[in-house]
Amino acid sequence: MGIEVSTGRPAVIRDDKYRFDSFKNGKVFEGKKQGRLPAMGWNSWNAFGSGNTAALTRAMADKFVELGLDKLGYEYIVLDDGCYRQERVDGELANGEVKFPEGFRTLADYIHGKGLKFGMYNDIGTNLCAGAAVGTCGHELTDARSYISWGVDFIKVDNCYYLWDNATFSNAENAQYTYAPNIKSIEVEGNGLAIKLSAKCGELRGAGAEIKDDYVTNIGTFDGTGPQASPVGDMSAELVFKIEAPADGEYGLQIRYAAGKEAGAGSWLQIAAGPEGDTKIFYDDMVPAGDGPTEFISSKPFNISLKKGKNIIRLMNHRRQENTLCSYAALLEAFNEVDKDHGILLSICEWGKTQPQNWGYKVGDSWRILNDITFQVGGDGNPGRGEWASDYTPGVAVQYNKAVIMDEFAGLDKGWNDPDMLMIGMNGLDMTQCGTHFAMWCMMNSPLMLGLDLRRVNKGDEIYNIIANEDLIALNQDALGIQAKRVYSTLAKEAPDKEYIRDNERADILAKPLADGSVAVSFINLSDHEWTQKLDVSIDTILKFIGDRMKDKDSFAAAASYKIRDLVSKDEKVLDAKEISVSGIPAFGNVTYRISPVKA
Amino acid sequence: MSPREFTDKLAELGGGKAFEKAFSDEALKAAGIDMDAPRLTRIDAAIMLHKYMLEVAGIPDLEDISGAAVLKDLYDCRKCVNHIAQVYLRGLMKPVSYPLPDGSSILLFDAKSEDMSSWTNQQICGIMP
Repeated sequence: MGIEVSTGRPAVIRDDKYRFDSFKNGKVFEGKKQGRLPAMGWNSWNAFGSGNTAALTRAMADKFVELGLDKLGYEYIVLDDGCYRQERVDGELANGEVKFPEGFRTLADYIHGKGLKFGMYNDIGTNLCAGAAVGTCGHELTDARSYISWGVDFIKVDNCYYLWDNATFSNAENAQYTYAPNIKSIEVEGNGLAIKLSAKCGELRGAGAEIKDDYVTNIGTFDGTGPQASPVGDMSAELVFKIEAPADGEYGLQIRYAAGKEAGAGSWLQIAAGPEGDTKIFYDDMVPAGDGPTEFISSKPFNISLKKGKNIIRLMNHRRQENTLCSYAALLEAFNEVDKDHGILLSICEWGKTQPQNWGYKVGDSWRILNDITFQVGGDGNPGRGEWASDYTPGVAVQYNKAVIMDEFAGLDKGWNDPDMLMIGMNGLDMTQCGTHFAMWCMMNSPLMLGLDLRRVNKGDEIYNIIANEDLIALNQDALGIQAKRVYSTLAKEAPDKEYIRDNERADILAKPLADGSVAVSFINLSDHEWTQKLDVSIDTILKFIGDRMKDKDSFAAAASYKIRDLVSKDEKVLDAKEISVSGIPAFGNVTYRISPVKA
Repeated sequence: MSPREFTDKLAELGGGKAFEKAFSDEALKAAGIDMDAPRLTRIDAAIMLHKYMLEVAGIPDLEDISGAAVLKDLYDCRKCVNHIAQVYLRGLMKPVSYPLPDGSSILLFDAKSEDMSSWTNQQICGIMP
């Protein structure tokens, strides 16, 4: 029995596999494929926004093959937003009559006929981001049937108009589902125990919650859509009370709370209790509303079970993550039901809002980590515009800064961090920036989804030479499937692989183990001026950070010398030392090497 | 004012076949505009004004939209960012000043509120090539 999703209320969770407490168990859901490398292809959004058409898509597929991109590993042609009719027809998805008159099956056949794979787009909410009222919420099985009948190989699923979160276009008051109420105190009674504890007697676990006056607020999962917070570490908070129970049995728990409908103070409460490490959920629902987030009222007594001795009572709300997981799981389960052998790749696009690095691996093949890399998408005849950096999520460096410390969440058994589609070929980025953009995405095992009008590319031109760099693609598609780790940053204080650094006045060094025993090392200048100082990294430092994930750490360490291949210039040299150095990296530039041990 | 009435206003500026194509019901629907809605929202107005600039008047987008980040709700509507930024930076739509308890204020675009006609045909004409 899978999860049931509807527009009526958040899913009722009857299986703990959908719960926060299962996020770290490493288990994926049925139908989620493991062992896949990052997806490569073309997506219509950055190139054409919602103005894509069947004719343009066919032209892209033609050019895709003409350029030989299919021979380089690129395989998916993905229709993003703007391809459906504005409403369902007899409850089913339908092609936009003007832009996609031939229907999706015909287009899929055309793309498949070229040896490529066909991808589409939808949303876990009620509407797609561009407005069409055809979101999958409550229609998962119907839509899964449609997608499979159309021959879809890839589905990107967005998060606009989501009913249970204050997502884009959603009602801001949906925050009521994503945060627990403010809590002032609890009372526990039963089996001779009668105790009242103020919130200050509780323990704040995780991150984000805080004591304000005499109550605790911000119990929930913080929003990861923007670039402000690190993706590493705890993303949510709980208020935990330690209770010594006199006997096994039932107890009454009364909570003094103030419910709201805003970020930080919501109305959905989860109560778990029991011995540390073995708590059970006793309540998971809305609480009656009061008069706002500072007007405290007493709840009815909730029944909880405690074991004799030490127990904890957890007051929390992990529904922001759990609801979103349930929505994506419902779609995966629908695909399983229609065709248990389906191989549809699921690209989660909830923009990092619910910290999908914690749960995305269970259902998806990749998960976006931030809001969009550009909001200035192109159109037919307009390349659109990208930028290197900004104060929000647009920009190569913004997305990179977050993704580069997220390697712990990625892998062949999980899936991939997705810092959004490539902006190579859009206005606003010069070729040095585009080259570094590509090298970064390859090093970080990010999906490589081209986002430009391919008709603007010709074999051998500057853009082609970047996107067709087989040496860099080989890093992204390396069979070992390990995202590079940042082993040095000029601005890191202690842990370059964990510290979230947003100041681009710096240079980074990344290292990535490869299946043949070699290591890719990338020296990246994020700044807007030449990096004149020498940057160096020792073999010991590389081993310290990635040695445990290398194919043959000992042979690499013991090598008498190393063959170094520059993956852009293709120059090769032999290094007899145990230190690799680079100097004079141009503004926004990179130097990326493949370093192979030479046996003594 | 409704979206349809707003479209009629824009039609008064002219544009011939380009206008007919860009502002057909189908095109507006595809752009997320509910043409049967009784009231024009500010985001409807922004989308249509931006559409007019690009597709009818042939006015290219401003490249640098970072100045629009003063609107604290700019990124709340991720697919609307460029529409809002372009009409705000061109001076076609004014922001809404929202007072804070400490006496200061922030600027919002306030996309979902009804448009208070902070635009005029003259303003649009003013940016025509």
